[in-house]
This record gives sequence, C-alpha cells and structure tokens, in this order.
Amino acid sequence: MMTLLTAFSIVPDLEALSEADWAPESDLKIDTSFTPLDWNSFDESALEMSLKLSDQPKGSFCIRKYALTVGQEFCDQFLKTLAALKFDQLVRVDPSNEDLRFRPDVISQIITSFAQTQAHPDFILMGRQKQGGDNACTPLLTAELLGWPCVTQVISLEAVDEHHLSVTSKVDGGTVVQTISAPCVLSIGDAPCSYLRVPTLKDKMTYGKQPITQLTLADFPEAETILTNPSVELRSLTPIRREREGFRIEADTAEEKAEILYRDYLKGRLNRL
Amino acid sequence: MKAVLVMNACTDDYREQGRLLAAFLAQRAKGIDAAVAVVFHTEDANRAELLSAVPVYGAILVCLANARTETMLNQLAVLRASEAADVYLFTGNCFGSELAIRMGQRCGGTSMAAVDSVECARERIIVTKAVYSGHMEAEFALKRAPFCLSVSRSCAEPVTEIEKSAVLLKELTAVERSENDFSEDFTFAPEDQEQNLENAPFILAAGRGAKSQEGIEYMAEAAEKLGAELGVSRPVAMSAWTAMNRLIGVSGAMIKPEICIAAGVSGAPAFYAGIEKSKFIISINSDPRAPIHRKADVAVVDDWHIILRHICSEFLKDSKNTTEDNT
Repeated sequence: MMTLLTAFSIVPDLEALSEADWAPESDLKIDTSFTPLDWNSFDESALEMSLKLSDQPKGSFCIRKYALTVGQEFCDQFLKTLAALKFDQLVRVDPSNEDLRFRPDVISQIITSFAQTQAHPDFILMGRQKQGGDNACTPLLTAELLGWPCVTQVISLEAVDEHHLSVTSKVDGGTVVQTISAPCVLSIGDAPCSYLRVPTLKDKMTYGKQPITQLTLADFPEAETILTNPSVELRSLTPIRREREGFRIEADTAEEKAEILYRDYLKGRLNRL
Repeated sequence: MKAVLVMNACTDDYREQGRLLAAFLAQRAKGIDAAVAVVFHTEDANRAELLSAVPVYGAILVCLANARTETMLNQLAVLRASEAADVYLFTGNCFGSELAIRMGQRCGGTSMAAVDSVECARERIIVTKAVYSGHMEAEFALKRAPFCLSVSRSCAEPVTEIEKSAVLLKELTAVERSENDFSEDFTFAPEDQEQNLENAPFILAAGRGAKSQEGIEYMAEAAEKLGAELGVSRPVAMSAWTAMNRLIGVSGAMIKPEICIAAGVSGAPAFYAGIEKSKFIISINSDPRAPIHRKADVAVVDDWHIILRHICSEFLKDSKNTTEDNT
C-alpha cells in the first residue's frame, strides 16, 4: 500500500475584489470575507494528481489518501467534496483566530507533526504556493523539518510501484524526469490539465458524509511554540498600483475601433520593429 | 551586513542571474556588502565566462556532476563554515527559490522568497515583497540571521553588462554522497531554445477570454500573420490549450517587447508582472471593467476576434502594397 498525504488550502478569489477593497484594516488584514472561495490552484493540482495516482487498474496496489487543511469551518464543504472523491481520511486543523497568512513555518510544522504521528505517508503532495501569503515556502520547510528530499515544480506523476513514483518536474532551462523512492515531499507547480474532477451524485451520496477529523493548534504543541516566537514580522501592507494611460478608443463599431488602433497606434510601431 | 551571492551556472541563464543580482544590489539593497559569489557549474563550463558574469569582487566556483539542489545545499553548508555571512542572496528562479528557503531552515536563520528590496537595520533586516497575488506590497522585519533571500525576477531592471570579471577565489568539486539516492534515472531535457518570449520584440498575449483551444489557435494564426510571438496567461496554459513554455507571468516569461497586445486578458497582477516592462501595451477585452484596460497604454473595449481579424487584414494589405512598391 502507498500512503499519500495531500495538504491543501482554500482561498478567496482575489480577482473578485475591486480596487477600493484593497485597503488594509488596522490589524493589516484585507477583508475578503465576502468573496467567493476556491481551491488554491496549485493545491487543486496536487489533489487531482493524488486521485490520478489512484486511477490504477484493478488488482494493482492500494493507495491510501489523506487530505489535510488548516482553516476555518468553511473548509468543511470542500473536505466533503474530497470525501465524495474517495479520499480516505479528511482532516481540518482549526487555527482559531490566529493569523497564519505569513506563517509557513507554523503550517509546515503542523503538516510535519501530522505526517510523523498520524498519517505516516510515503509521499506528501502540496502546491508550491498559496495565493494570499505568496510565501512559496511550505513544501520546502516541510521537507527540511522531516529531513526528506523534495522535488519542486512537479507537473506530472505516475505510480511505478508501492514505493516509487515517476516524477516530471520543471527546472531552470528544461524538464527533469526521475523515478523517486519514498519518502519524499512533492511541491506541485504549473501542471496542465490538473483541475479537480467533479464527484458524481452517486459518490456524493455514498461517500460524501464521511466524518471530518477536527483538530486544533493545541494538538500540535511544536507548532504552537513556533507561533509564539515568530522570526518574521509583518510591518505594513500597501496596494500596488500599476496603471498606464489607458486611453480608450471610442467608435461606433468594432471594425472602426480596429482601424483607429491600427492606423494611429500600431502601424508606425510595426514599421519600426 | 556581509552578503554572499549564490548563482546557478548549470543553466544557460547565468549571465541574466548576474545582471539581475547586480541591479538588485545597486537599486534595491541598502547596507549590504556583497564581495563574494558562490557559483555552481557543470564540468564543461568556461571558467573565464563564468567569472565575467559575477557582479561582485570574487567567486568561488563549485563544480557539480549534475545540477541537483540536494547536492548544492550540502555544498552551501560546507561553504558556510568558511564563508559565513549575514545575508545570502539567490536569484528568484526555480533553483534559487528552493535553495534560499531550504538553506535558511537548515542553518537556523530566516528565509523569504521573491524579495523586491532589502535594507539592513542593526541586527534585523527589512524586506519588501509582493503578496496577495501581486495586489499588495508587504514590508517585513526579519529577525534571525542568517537571512536567506531569493530575489524577485521583476524587482529591478537588470544591468546591461557586468563591468569587471570577478577574481577566482577558490575552486571546488562537489562529491555526491547519498543525498540523491532517493532518485533514479534522473534525465534532464533542455527547453526548446527556438521560442524565446523574453527577447521577442512583438508579443500577442492571450488570456482566458480566448475561451477554447480553437480561440487560441485563432490567436496563434493572427500572431503569425502579424509577425508576433504568442504568449499566454496561466489559465490558458493550465487548460493545455497551448504549450506551457508560452506562459507569461510570475511563473513564466517576464517579457519586455516593444509592443504587447493583450487580448482576452483580465489583467491579474500575477500575469501583468510578466508584461509590465513592455514599451507599449494594447488591451483588447469586451469587458469594460477588466483591470487590463487601466494598465494598458491604449484600450479597446470590444470583441478580440473582430479587432484581430481587422488588424491582420490591414497589416497584410500594407505589406502587399510595400512589396509591390519595391518591385
């Protein structure tokens, strides 16, 4: 049997915020409570890759899948989707009111402790970066805490046997394919065609009510210790404005707009190339 | 504070790494004294060329059999004993981003990826970086040295050339021990060098508004007719409507063409960071509220199909007339 632990985050749709919404509150938080929620895109790829590994012909080895998230109660509806997609164990660690946006050290310690004490995975999968904090640290720190190797920018996975995966990853200047043995942390990058599948209604009814294990930070004393002793302190948040003239071409038809665009703004520049 | 630069010359872009680090030190770093660079390279590297890409006084060259980060990390731990510094600066490519974070953890310091600026303030440093997918700039105080930082690829305009070659301080050969035993059949396939978005003078950048693979194929044809390279946003690349090496943005190419037409693009910051160094940006999007219109020099609120078709037709007409005039 191969055991996979996939750690994921649920994030607000930041593109739904208007310019005026990017105003930090007194505690340096941005109010995203009214925005739609979605899978963190890199983590979504990690979850789908876990499922693809399980799509093996009958008779081959079994894959046990844990899904772990650190987040508030709203994450439960997403965990239910994963239950319907036949993840075996669903775990949510409630951070209470702690601000973990820029604390990949705390998140990676939670994942590490969970892996060491409960899941005992062969491989840990997670997205390379979470929208919001944009720390791009958690898989790397997890690997270091566990003393495991880490493959970054993973774009494709295939099972070789119970203890080995064939991994394709991007590196500077090209692509690497290698067969890796457990244990290893896999940091998922820009993996094409890895949107999370939708569970069938039948699977929702059959598997969707699986219980979610709820834990708190108190269940992770090492993470609590790190939380109280931060090495990074957020001092300010400022909106980034990147605006240009934005001169709008006005005309009655699209063809007329295209003509103005070509004649007045493009033709001369193209001739000078 | 004393700083050491870390460069990966196992890849062809090491000169760009040197130019970016030089620009970062000159424009975005205060109170940093960087005199030494550690340069990882493979056996076939030309030593003189490596030294000419290093933007500080001296270089320690470390030869590797393979460009493996696990081996690089072990070498950095060894070098830290003789070349201890308060700050280690890495370029923000795949290798640099990984090494900075893992080295920071290994040596009990503080690490941060994609940093835009750094300022030393007694025993701590103040750094800025883009967060919230590029919507906000955060300022952080980092408290525990050594500080291992990767530098954002868009933090500064790279210098045009490194003025003086570095002095060779030391040459080492890394010995792989058991750190890569988890991996077998390691095969590296280099990227197609023919298509280089970062040096193209004219780019048509396609976004989610293309709506389908057919839409992207239409845009690719339009790009070819106009003599432009096609680039795409992340949703397009993730849908596999085109090859991933056409991706523009923080995880793809950072382009700087004379002209960039952004068609069907919303203008999300992570994408815009990849085109913001374009000299002239034209946006085409039927949504008048799309942020890309405010970030362009000229905006067209309409259907990109019609606009591109008409532009191509005008361009071909002009090209034909020019050819006839010449004959």
